[in-house]
Amino acid sequence: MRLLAGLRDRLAGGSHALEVDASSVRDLLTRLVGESPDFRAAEELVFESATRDRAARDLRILVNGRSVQFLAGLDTNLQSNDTVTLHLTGARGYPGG
Amino acid sequence: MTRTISALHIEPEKCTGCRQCELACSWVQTGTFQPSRSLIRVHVFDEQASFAPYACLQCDEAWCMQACPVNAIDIDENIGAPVVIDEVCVGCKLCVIACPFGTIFFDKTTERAAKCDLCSGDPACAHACPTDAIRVETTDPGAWLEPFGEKVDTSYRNAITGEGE
Amino acid sequence: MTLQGGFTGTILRVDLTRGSVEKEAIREDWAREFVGGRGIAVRYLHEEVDPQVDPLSPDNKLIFATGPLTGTNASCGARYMVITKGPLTGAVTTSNSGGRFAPELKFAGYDMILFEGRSERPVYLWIQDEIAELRDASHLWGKGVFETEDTIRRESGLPDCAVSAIGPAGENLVRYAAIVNEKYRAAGRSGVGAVMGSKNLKAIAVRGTGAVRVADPVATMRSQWAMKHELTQAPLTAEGLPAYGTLALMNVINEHGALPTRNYRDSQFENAEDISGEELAETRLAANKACFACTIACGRVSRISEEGVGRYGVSCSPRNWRHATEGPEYENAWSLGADCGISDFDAILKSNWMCNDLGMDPISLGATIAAAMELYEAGVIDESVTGIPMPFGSGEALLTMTEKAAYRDGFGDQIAEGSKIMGERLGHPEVFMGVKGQEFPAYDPRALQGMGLGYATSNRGACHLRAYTVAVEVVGEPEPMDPRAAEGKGAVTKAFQDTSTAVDATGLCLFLTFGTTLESIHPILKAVTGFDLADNELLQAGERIWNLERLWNLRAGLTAADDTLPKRMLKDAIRGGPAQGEVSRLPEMLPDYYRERGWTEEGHPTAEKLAELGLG
Repeated sequence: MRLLAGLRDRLAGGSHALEVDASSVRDLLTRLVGESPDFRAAEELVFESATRDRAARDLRILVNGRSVQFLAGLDTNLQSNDTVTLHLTGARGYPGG
Repeated sequence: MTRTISALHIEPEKCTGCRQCELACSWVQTGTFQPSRSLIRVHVFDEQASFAPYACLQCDEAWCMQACPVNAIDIDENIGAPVVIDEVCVGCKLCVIACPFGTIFFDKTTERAAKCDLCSGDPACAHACPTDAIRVETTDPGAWLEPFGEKVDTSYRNAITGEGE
Repeated sequence: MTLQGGFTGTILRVDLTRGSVEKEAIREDWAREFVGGRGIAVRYLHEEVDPQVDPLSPDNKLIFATGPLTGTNASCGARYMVITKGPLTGAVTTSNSGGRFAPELKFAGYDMILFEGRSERPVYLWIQDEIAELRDASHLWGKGVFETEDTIRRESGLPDCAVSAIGPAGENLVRYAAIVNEKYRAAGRSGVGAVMGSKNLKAIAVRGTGAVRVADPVATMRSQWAMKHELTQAPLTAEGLPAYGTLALMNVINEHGALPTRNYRDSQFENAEDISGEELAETRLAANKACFACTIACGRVSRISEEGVGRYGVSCSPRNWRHATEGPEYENAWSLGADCGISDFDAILKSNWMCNDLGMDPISLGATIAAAMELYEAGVIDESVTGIPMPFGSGEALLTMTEKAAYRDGFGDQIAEGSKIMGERLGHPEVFMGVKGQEFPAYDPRALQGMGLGYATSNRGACHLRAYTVAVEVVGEPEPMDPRAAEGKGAVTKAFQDTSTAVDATGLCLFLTFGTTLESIHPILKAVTGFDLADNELLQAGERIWNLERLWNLRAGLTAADDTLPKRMLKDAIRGGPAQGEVSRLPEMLPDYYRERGWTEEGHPTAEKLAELGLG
């Protein structure tokens, strides 16, 4: 998986990419949080709440360049060699959008 | 005898050069946006990528105060800083000449001297700064100057020994 | 009705042919209908300039317009807009810049400057509060933007003045020459600098000590605080832009497979990481720099690496390589980088620096060099034509052509025409990647369908700032929209165009919309101007301005046939990466867009629409 910008320091000790074994996006995020030294902070960054049923509002998750918003969300299944990208974002944007 | 002083504590490293402080200062004085009448000024050093807001240092034995022939500048004990008494000032500009920091101004509109009075203790510039580069500090002069002096001293020592290059 | 605040109420009319400078009152009725900035200036253009005019003739006019919120403490109130007929596009041109120039003009007492005619000799306009006069600029002609600015500051004796100037590119009528203020802030696109050069106008220098007044002080303070607070709460304006600038997008867009590479032949750049915001922040970022009154501070001050300083020989060597330069923005790092296949960040920084000094738009320059590189690799042109090897990835070629284009030297004379004319002259019009003569910015419209519709329908030619559907298609705010889908893109493109236009008319910066909405800007405009604005009136003003620009373009001879994309976008599918197989679905989206706009199938605003907007 690939991490962009601030997530590199906050989730992966500064590295850009990680190899993670996971069967779904939810599984992957859970492992990522579990392996993080400060798992509370990681959980807050990745999930909307401690129940972990939704990704944080400003986290974007791409599987092979496609946002999981247009796939099966956190239940999107992963195959081996899939590339998952995480980036933070945020814009309240425009009216009528 | 030491007394406590109030002054703006400015950290140029945090400044982005946006001049919200100048806008806030002019707003407080004039009710309009007029940076040319601001008492805090941002200096931009482009090639060093450095921005430095500066305002009156609120000297204890202020040059402006010593120079004034009509005693129009006096320390306001409530604020802890020298202020201009508008009713007494005759607009002779001697204080402007005397100030070694260039932080007391002659205001062409009012024809009086104008200097930072810390907005009577709650400076608008500090509120307006989006990066917390400006704070107001009330302390005794030594405590205020010590860390600053140490920093300057360190850069001086590094410069002559070539350390920290 | 009299203007109560925000506006100074005065404009300067400069007749360069006669050498006269007159003050006149701004049209208050137009201020109410079209707000300021881009809005009111387009209204003046519509009134005074024949759309059929040759852009580089004395009959064209050049307008510098501030907005009512320029010079106030509303965050990002720093902008001015340059409005004219552009030599790159033949369409209405609206090119925006920040920095300190615009507020300084307001403090001097003017909302707008309108240049007409053509001076016999090079001149610059000097403004010091109520003084406004033309001064000889013979000694500045031929000089870069940096030296011009430094010279004027020195000889005027007022180092606090703000200078907006053209460089050699503007003088030599490079079709995408820019107007640059404070050395690094540019009204960059569509060749506004060439229009200024054609008028023999080298620069405008202004020092203002006056005030910008507001109608309702209490409401002004309350509403601007509310907006600033919002900006501190939104991740992009609070953290993303300050930390990485617009360059944060390099990796993001690349991950989406939407990063045009090697003149849009590929859609992912294998070396994107090397030219990303993350890389800049780690290795070369010296500081953040804000425009006037901006609480975001997305501006980058960067340093070229020690090792990169002397790597390429260019004769216009800046004296401060080792110190700070500004930028690059995402679009520039893309055009000078990925689009040319270049991953040498130092080469990009240098070229970007030179564009600022020579006064050129790096987007069109980089894209034109990329088109030339494609022709070079295809064997259409060789060294006997270009003078140097021009393969994709060559930093040497980039820097050499940056300089040659500005002086129209050798093959640079072709590069200076932009990729449309260059491609046509070399018998390969298909290498032009753009709309209405203007090169695309940095998002592949096949991977992000909305951007394609935005490019095709932009009044000033291909542009990312007119309808930034990246917000919904990539960022996913306020609501995510599938970037691959064509449905709904007409409505969202219209909404974004009208919103962006409204922001441009206020004198604020478009980047505010990453952290706030028009609903928050509306009360500030109301408080500052004292206008009794209805709820959606600002948005409607945006729509009114957009339609007036469209009418002007139609009268200039543009038609619905110009609302299109190059064949490569419509027919050739993306060759690899996440968006492999995609083409632009513009033919599906365009009719939908015309309907949403209330236009005919031929792209003409209907009589009902014009009546609704008060343009009938």
